[in-house]
Amino acid sequence: MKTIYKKPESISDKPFHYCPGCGHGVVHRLIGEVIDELGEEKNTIAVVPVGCAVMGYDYLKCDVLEAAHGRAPAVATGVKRCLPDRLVFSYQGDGDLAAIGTAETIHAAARGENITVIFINNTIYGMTGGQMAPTTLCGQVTQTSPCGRDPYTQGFPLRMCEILSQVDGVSYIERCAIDTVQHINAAKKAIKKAFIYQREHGAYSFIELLCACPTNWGMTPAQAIERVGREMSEYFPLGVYIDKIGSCGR
Amino acid sequence: MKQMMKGNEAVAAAAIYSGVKCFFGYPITPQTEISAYMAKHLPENGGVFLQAESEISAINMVYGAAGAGFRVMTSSSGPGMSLKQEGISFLAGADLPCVIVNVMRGGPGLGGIQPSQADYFQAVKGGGHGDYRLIVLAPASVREMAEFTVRAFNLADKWRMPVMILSDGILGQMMEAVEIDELPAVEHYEKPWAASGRGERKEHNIIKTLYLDPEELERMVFSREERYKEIAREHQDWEEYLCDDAEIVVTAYGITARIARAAVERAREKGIKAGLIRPITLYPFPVKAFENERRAVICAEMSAGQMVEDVRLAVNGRYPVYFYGRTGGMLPDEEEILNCIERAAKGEMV
Amino acid sequence: MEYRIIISGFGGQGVLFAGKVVAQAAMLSGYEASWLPSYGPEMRGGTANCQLVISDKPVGSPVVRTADVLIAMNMPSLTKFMDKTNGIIVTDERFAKFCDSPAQVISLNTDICNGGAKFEGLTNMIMLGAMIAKTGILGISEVIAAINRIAKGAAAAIDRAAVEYGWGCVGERVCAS
Repeated sequence: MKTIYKKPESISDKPFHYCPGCGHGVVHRLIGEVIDELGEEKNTIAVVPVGCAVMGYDYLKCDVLEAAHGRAPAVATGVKRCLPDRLVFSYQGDGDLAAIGTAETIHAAARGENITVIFINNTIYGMTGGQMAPTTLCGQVTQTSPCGRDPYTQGFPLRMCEILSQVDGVSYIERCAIDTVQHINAAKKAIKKAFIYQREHGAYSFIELLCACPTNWGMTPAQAIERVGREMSEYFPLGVYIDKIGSCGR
Repeated sequence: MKQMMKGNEAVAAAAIYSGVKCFFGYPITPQTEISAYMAKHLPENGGVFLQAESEISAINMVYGAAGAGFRVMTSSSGPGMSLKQEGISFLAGADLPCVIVNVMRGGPGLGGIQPSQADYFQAVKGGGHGDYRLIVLAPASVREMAEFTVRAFNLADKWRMPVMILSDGILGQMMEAVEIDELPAVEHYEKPWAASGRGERKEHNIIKTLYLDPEELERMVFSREERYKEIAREHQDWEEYLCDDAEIVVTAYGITARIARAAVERAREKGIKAGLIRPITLYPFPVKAFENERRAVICAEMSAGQMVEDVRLAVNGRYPVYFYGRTGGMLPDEEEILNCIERAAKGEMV
Repeated sequence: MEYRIIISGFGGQGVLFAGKVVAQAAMLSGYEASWLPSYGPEMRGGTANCQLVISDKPVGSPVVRTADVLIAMNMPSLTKFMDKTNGIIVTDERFAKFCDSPAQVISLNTDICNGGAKFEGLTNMIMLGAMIAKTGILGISEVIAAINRIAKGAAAAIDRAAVEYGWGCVGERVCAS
């Protein structure tokens, strides 16, 4: 019998704790597939965030460091500067990367650290139960924006790909979405390209992935995934923002 | 070769001697020479110097490098040390070795930039959140700044925990002669736990601090407490001066001890049986140094009274413990310490 | 033997450097020595001082409360430290006349250190030379060796010459109060 679908080698057998419809499981799988395809499982070091993905260390079979909230790019910097021939990536949510860790995010990019940052944007704090995130859309209802986010008192959502596009140290930035098969395939390609750029060009890459959080959005998985393609993609346009190595920037 | 060095430079030179791979820092007075020395000399010794965007990033870069299994150091002072506390708690919680240098200045807040010992509580009681300790070493000379740095790296790797050098603005800024070629031996420890890439290892290594199961977290904390007890048995260190027959003992650490020593000598000239106990390890606190009976102990500090609490715990009510302190960047005065000794000898000290 | 020295002046006058030369020379002479700088937010033009202790046994407190020698390179330094000096004060003759101190005052004409003159900007080295000549705590050869260790090339040569010049001033220009 021919195997046509199996779990990536670099992902453990432990069942994911993520909710149905959540983007994390899909993205973990994509990363696992890419690590397998590049043959980097024994050479990869992951830095996981504070947030739902903190338990990434149970799912990834490579060596893993759990970082303090927002500090993953600094931790990844420490690792990579000591071990320049390892493949090092950080995996961070929106609160982690774009609120408490904004400084770490921007300065790791400014230094052009030879790491890959995987950014899960689901417009909400998931693990703490659904509070307003730096990427929460205007009008979006959360526990801490019960009347909908009012940008004039609560700030506007941050578009991190656009912000980082102005930073000279960056080599590659792409925003993808985890909603349709086509988009998920594109996301995998982006992750693979970023890892190859790191390995072969010493490049800093930033891959933003728009994901659903059905539980904290108060939606069914189907509704939530539809929101990713509609509302979220409208405010956070998909595409390649910078690609200095492939030189097909937007 | 004997050379004149600033305390800050001696720390940096000794760290390079100890095989430090990375230094991550952020400018703050009065410790900046450590960064400057590292920026100049660490790369030429095959290491990495990086000025971080913040104290917080610096300590988290330390976490990354320590987690990857390398010797790593950072340094700061006052407000910068406060910012690092989150990271220090994570380092302790993940059982990662590293060396942290605090060149103390006056606080709270921005405080001042003149020397102080007001971060004692922060250093020896943990400083960040959670149940944890650091080994804290208190040098009193430029030579000890260098020697204790080597010792700190050895202890950190041996016990898998952060070690702090608790220094101050005077020790950091002053120059004294130091034999940088005659430092203690560098010990080497295997780090099979490091997240350095799995390679041929069967299981992956995880550097983490999260234990959602309370039973597991309690087990982790208690096992660390056992280690701290072992450290307390093995590593209490202090220096005594004229203590054999001393009735009035002054206790002071770091630069204050040198001022107190001069006061003790003068008290002896006046016929008072005075002595000095200089704690070298502040954690573990040298409780054993206070086992002998005395008439009284005077704790002298550059703070409003912090180490005195540990002295009281050590003495446990067996004889009076008095406090003398200057703070905010003001230095303890030899004359004033002498005066305290005289009053204590007459039973007039309160 | 224990000698306590304060060197003080404007930032940029080489106050800290002069102190480093003394500390280095003391070390080369086999003494224990400590050098403690003032440090603060001022850079060039602010006030600066350093405190030195030279001893034949390990240095206790590196802080100088009462100095055996003061080198005061400007008026504010003289005002600030003259009351804390018991032995000798080395200063410029323009300031010396305001000196109200029981200490012995060595007042130097420093015209040779001013605009375009031979030892422009080397008041520090001249006063240092005068100080060692007067006190005898360090030999001129140790001071020259110290300069050779911490300064380089042309700078070291002119520093050495200025120290020797200052050393020669004492005796001729001494002006005890």
